[in-house]
Amino acid sequence: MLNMPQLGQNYCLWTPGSELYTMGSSPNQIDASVACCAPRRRIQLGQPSTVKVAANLIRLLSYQNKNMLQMGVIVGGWDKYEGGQIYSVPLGGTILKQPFSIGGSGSSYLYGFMDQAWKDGMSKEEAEKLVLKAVSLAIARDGASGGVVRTVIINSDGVTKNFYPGDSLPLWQEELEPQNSLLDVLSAGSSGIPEPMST
Amino acid sequence: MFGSLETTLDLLPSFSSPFLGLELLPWGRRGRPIGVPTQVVMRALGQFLHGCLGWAPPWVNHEQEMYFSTWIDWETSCRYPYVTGTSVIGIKYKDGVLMAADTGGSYGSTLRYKSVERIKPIGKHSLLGASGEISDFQELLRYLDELILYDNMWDDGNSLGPKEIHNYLTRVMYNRRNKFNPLWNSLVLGGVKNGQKYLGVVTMLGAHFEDKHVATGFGNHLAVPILRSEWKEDMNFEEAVKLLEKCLLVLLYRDRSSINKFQIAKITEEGATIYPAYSLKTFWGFSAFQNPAKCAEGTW
Repeated sequence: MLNMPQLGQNYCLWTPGSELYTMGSSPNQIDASVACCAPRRRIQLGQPSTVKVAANLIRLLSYQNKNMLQMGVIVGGWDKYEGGQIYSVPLGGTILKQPFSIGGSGSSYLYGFMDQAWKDGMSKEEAEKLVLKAVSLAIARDGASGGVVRTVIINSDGVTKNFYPGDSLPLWQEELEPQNSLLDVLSAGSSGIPEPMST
Repeated sequence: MFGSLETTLDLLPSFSSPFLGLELLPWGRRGRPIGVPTQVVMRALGQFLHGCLGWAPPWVNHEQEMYFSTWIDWETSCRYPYVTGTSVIGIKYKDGVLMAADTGGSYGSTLRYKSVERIKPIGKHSLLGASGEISDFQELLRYLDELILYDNMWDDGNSLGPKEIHNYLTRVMYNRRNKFNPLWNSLVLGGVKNGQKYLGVVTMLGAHFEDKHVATGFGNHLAVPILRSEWKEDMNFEEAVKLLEKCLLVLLYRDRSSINKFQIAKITEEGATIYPAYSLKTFWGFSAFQNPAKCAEGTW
């Protein structure tokens, strides 16, 4: 389950569902405590804070409460100084700037895929297609992933959110075209219908 | 005015939040319990003083007592490292000190991050390389940044050399260890100041020592024997790099958390140079690999 509350106008906090375990507070409380810092900074600076600052706010929470929280987070956004940026804040509170990042339970299945499929300098459409393909591959193999895919695109034009229902995703290995009922399969063609066994 | 005591306590904000730093244990110094009305007064006073002064005295705020050894929560005190870096190797050579490390950040057995710089320059005279938890290394860099900045602000022509930084790191690591909240790193500190070369190590327990060649993590077992037999006094840059690369290759072959992307850094009287990351060629043409069926029938 993707949990994507917006921190500010220009960055998103993505907490891949199963990597977020907190004792005594829910993911929403964490977001709320950070989300209160972001608007305050906006008032102080007169402009939205940079992605780096947002990522560091989250890192501070994660690092300083290492014993009590366990959250792996990816902060992505756009600001006018450095453009689009992605900061990964895994368990423990390390902060690393990366060209792309994956996380969560289904991400184990995506390391190889991203190594092969990600390229520098992709366009917006290519990048969204890649993300969609990656998440749908994870859904295919990870028990804890499924349902729908929601994507967020953040650039100089703002934030665009897209929704892809599960049945619109491509099919992978050993997955079959969904049907309404067996009756449709039977009425469609007589090639795959088995004969009753005689002996 | 306040109604029942339960509602009174509800009106006061929660004190057990980790973000406030105010704790009140319901018993006093002598071990006898504190009555609820007194608790209410103490909590209110603590909150007021915390707001005025930014801190509350220990008889109102029992947070300090909770860090004494009798109050340590053993379940959460010894933290675990999550994103870790593997070995760092350092050697002294003719012009100064040379350090090498790979650029990997492992997440358990996964080689999750492949471009983590684990050697950083500190001030004008030192290099710090770290293995262990990367978030703690990043925190140490912040502490050192503050230290160096403070030193520079004096603007008195003096600058912190490797010996001073090493001592500072030792104290920080040992103090954290005493509070059962260590910075989970093994650090290599190398530097040159006024012609004097310095190379030292600090571990997460605060153990520190100085030597001509050092290594952390797996390097202790795989690289140090090579360094002990092949290191010599006053090697030039090329010889030193070749020796380091020999150690790095052994670590690459044998340490599961190393990756084939290394960074070598040198520190001399002129300053620190961190060379760009590069990969080494590996050799797999051993005769034993060519015909494994010689030893095991039926395999290939």
